[in-house]
Amino acid sequence: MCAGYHSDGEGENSFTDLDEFLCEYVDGTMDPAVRKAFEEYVRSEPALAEHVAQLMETRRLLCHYGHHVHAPCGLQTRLHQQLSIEMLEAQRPVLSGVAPRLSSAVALSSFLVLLFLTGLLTGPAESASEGGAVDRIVSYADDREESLVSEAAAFTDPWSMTREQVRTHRAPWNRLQDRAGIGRDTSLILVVAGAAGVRRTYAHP
Amino acid sequence: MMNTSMPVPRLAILAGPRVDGDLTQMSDEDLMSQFQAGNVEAFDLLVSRYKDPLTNYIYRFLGDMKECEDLLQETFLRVYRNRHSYRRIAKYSTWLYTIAGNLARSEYRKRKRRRLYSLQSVNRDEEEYEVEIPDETFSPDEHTESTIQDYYIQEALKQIPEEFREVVVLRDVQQLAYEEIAEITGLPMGTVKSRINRGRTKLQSLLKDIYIPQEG
Repeated sequence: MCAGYHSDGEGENSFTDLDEFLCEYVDGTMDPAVRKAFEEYVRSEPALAEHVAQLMETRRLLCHYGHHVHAPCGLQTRLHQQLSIEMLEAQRPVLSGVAPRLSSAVALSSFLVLLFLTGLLTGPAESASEGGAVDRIVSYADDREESLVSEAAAFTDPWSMTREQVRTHRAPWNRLQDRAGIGRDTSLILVVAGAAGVRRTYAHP
Repeated sequence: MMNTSMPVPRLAILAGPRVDGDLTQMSDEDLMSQFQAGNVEAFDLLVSRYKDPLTNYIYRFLGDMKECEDLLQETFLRVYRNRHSYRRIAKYSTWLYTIAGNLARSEYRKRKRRRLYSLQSVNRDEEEYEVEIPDETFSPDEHTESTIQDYYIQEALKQIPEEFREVVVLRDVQQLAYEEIAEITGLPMGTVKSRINRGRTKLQSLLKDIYIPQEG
């Protein structure tokens, strides 16, 4: 073959117009008829013949030594791990869209129920001694239901009453109105009763 | 199959329907069809078949083993994620090398920009230039002949332009056909052949030190 590698300093030569032919010839992919003609031409040009020989040697080196690198160990393990993570993350948005709202709703509901239960359980027991707003209304109404009803009945026509009568009857009337108001709004009962209960719980643990 | 003693986690979420027949006898394209149908064993087999060739391709192109490992993993992850975009009209290897090639080119250009930027920031004249930093860790005395050849080949490849390096690696290291290289790189066939020859020509002078003349 050739005596050694030789080219100019830049590795360039004057055969650039033969690029495609040289590529096919060195690779052995040239059409046989064309190859025969090209070989004759190469033989007639010693510089080209040497260049071809060097190209063949370069190709041999690359083919022989170019594929000695191996994939890193544990590649498949890492791939499986990464894919598992990605699949889990892909499932997360479905839950992540619903879960926060759901948990907020559950938390709010739980809090309201807790408030209600606390108020329900602690309220009546302490109402006698503490006299919370709601309990006062309820106990007052219970104690004086008959008199309240009769007083209210008597107050059906406030314009016929004197100033003194109005002052006397205003308090029970307001309380009765409060009691009726609570009955009209169940959520208000829950919040007020719960709040009262919690207030008592924390104020008197 | 595996190069490691670590067990591969067989997660239920990754397991697909089993298919009768010997997967190892199947062509890449058949394996890909199996994988598209949900058989993850087919994917494992494709990884086994191509992990070494692809490592060589990416490493020869980038010249950095750490980056090569990252890109290798990313290539197979993209195969997994985009398995349904593969069409049987294309060769699996062409599709795979196209993914890897795009990633490698993108990484190479990013690195080139980073290097130019970092040199620009320390250069008083704000003049752009590239400097190859020699690998001080390599000691030929401690290596076998094949490792030395391997080292010089890699150093030579690093010194030729990217557009020549890619086609030379695809042709001489990966042994791909011109048609496949043209498809992977998106170049006309004539340009592929021309670049292969020019790349080899540039490598000639760089590899002359490891050329062993044949007597007689």
